Amino acid sequence: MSGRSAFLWGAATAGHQVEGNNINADIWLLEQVPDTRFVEPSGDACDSLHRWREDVGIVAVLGLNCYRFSIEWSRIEPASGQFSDAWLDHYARMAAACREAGIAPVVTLSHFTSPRWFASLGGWHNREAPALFARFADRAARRLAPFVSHVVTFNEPNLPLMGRWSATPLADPMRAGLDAMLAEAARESGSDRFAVWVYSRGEDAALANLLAGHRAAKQAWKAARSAVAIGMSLALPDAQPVGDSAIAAYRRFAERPFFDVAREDDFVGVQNYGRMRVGAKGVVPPVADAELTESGDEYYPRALGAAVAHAHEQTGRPVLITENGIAAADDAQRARYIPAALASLDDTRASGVPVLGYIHWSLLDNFEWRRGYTQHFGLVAVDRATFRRTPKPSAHVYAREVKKRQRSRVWANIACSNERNAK
Amino acid sequence: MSEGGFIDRRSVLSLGVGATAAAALSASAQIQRFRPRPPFLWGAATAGHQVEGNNIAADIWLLEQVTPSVFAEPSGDACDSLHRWREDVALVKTLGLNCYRFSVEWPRIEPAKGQFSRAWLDHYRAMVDHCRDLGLAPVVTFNHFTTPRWFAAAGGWEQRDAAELFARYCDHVARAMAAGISHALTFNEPNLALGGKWAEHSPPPAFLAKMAANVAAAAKASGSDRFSVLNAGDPTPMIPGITAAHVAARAAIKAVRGDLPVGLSLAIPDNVAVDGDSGIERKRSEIYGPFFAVMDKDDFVGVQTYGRAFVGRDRDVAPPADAPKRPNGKEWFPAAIGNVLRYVHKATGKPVLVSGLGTDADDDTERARFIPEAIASVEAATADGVPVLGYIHWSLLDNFEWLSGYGPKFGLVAVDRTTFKRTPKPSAKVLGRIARAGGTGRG
Repeated sequence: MSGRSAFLWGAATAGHQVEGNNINADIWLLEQVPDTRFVEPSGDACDSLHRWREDVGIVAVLGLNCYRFSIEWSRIEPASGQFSDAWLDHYARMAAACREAGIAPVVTLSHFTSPRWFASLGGWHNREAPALFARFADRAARRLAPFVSHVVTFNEPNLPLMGRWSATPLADPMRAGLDAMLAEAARESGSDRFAVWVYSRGEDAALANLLAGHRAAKQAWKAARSAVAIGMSLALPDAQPVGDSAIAAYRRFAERPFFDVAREDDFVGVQNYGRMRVGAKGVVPPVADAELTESGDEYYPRALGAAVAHAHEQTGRPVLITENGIAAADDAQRARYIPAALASLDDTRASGVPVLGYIHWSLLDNFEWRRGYTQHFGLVAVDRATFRRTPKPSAHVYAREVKKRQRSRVWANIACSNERNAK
Repeated sequence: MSEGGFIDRRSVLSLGVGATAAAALSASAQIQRFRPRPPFLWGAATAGHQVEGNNIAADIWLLEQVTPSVFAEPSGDACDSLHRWREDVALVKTLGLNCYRFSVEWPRIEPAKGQFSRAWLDHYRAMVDHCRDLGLAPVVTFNHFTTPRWFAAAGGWEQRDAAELFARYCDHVARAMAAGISHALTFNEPNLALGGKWAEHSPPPAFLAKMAANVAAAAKASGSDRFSVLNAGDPTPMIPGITAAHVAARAAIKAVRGDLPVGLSLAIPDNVAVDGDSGIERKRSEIYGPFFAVMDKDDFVGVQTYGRAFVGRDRDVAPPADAPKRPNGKEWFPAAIGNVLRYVHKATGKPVLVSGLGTDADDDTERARFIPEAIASVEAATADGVPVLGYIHWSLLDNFEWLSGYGPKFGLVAVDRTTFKRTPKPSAKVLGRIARAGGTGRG
């Protein structure tokens, strides 16, 4: 990259969560089987498939300079080896439209969903998986590389490992339910090995394949355009030890394999939604009088700065905050959250940690996986019948916080020094 | 002031509703004698699966993908009309036509049973509205061969509630866009498969075995023991489901907009009895009879003709040795359509719409010669008193021709398979000239 890049102030979405009708995706099928563990199917989502120009327009109107979205592998390669120029063109139009609006497109290659055919072949358990993912990444790179600013290969690939350290990672009924759902998807696909990473047990062999897939995808993108910055995004709660804590075991499973790979990357993507208090045998629930978010998690905005510092300290890489936010039924809580989270980030940046940008999750209220449309992470509300977008007060709070920092000489200086640190 | 100004096409057609075929004929004949005719439709046609691309929730998309497959190649991106439909509509307008026929894809609109997509309904409504904005009459096919995978996996047209399921889908489509539609076709060529046993050459047993294996593979890939697709198996048990579905769909559409003309399109060649012992009436009653029987309340009949058939005792026979031939060896007989219009009108008493007519010519000069000849035969039928609503050419674009893949070239417009760039062929201008002039001028 030449010259100084501006700090990225963005908002994020993911294909399956906003596009709607992503019918060739493994997770779409999981939503549909009789024994599904999703509270509702994704359906039309926000119809961003047709309304993505509105989404980009909102990012611009809010004064942001970055939009993170994902490209859907299951659209681009609907059958193994059959690539769709039509859908590659679609995503290229999105990225180009961002550029025209002065918005840096940060593109995720795999945001939880895979094509059904990939899942039917065993997902990341399949020995061919890294090569298959690399082939897709290569095709995407050839079409999109000229427009894209940063690439996130995988979104939160460490999620299935976050419970591996614990004797009771998931309640038995929950695990059994996921397995029953996956078994039905297998049957409906005529497959005996249908597997979806995010709902897996995070097995070692599959993890090794996934990390090999990350490296291969990175290589493909670098070959297409070496200036594209590449990394992966990790789910990184601010892990805090409580008492005789097993935090070392937690980090060994949920962080270390990924940090080891991230050290080779251009940046480490951090996704933070609060803190996680790690006891001896499991996660310690929030204290009784703790303020909670809509998702039942503790309201704890300052976790962001700590998670960012930790990721940098462990990898030596600059940090791109690819997600941060809260599920808030009452938007006032989000409006309080954003300045508080950003203040903790200010402190971390001031301490010398190089940060490339902050991308809020999410631009839109969207399909929050198994919880359906019940969780409101959006800066913008979406009418479920008309798809009409309405920015919430918190969107304007965020815009104001961004403008304040963009105008501040102090932050301009820090951005410069961070840029030096990153080199 | 002439009374005629108050009578538009819809009210003319609605007079036929509920009347017997003969009464409908005489009513519409009288009205047409005294009042200006509605504008004749000059159109071009496409169908969703054949041009949109990536219609992955469709039964046929799956048949293309499994092994073995009788499809020469998968549909892939087709013409990417999913994104480029505005270009297609603009082409129709630019060519000088006043009508665009396209289909709405049930697999997109109802990707899972009972889950209707407002997003895709909006998409197709935008197409209808855009046609209207440009002064084009949108003729909309509700089912152009493809059904949702879930529907096929549940037994297709053989399942007990097939008619209700189709009617429910049609109700959603009608509510979303009936106001803008010019003519509705419930089904495209639902009789096509019935023609198989009258064909001059029966499909080889090896082909039939492969097709059965193709359907079996799709069943396995769907975890189904009853996967059923029209045109890929014995149609006999499916036809009652389809005819019932037509009746239910017509009622559903009419309930939303009573004055919207509704019909279906049938594949009908110009059947010619060979001397002596021809089974022509048996053939007609087998292949068209089941549909004519349920079209009594239809407003029109869509007619799709791709040549002439010489009907022997139990099957079609070869054309006379001295018949003019096309480069591909088939008979050159562009005037077939005129005779079919006369037959269909006589058999049903209904107005007729040429809803699909064309020729698969690699050499566009053949199509350019075909079009004026075919239209002249339509004009001759009109002159004989057959009420013809319009002429819609198949196809606007070179597209995915089902089992044959992208081999056959039916388009007025060529489509680059990599860039999707559309290039009108000379034949498109021939059709456009005739449309602008209001006819061939030969009458």
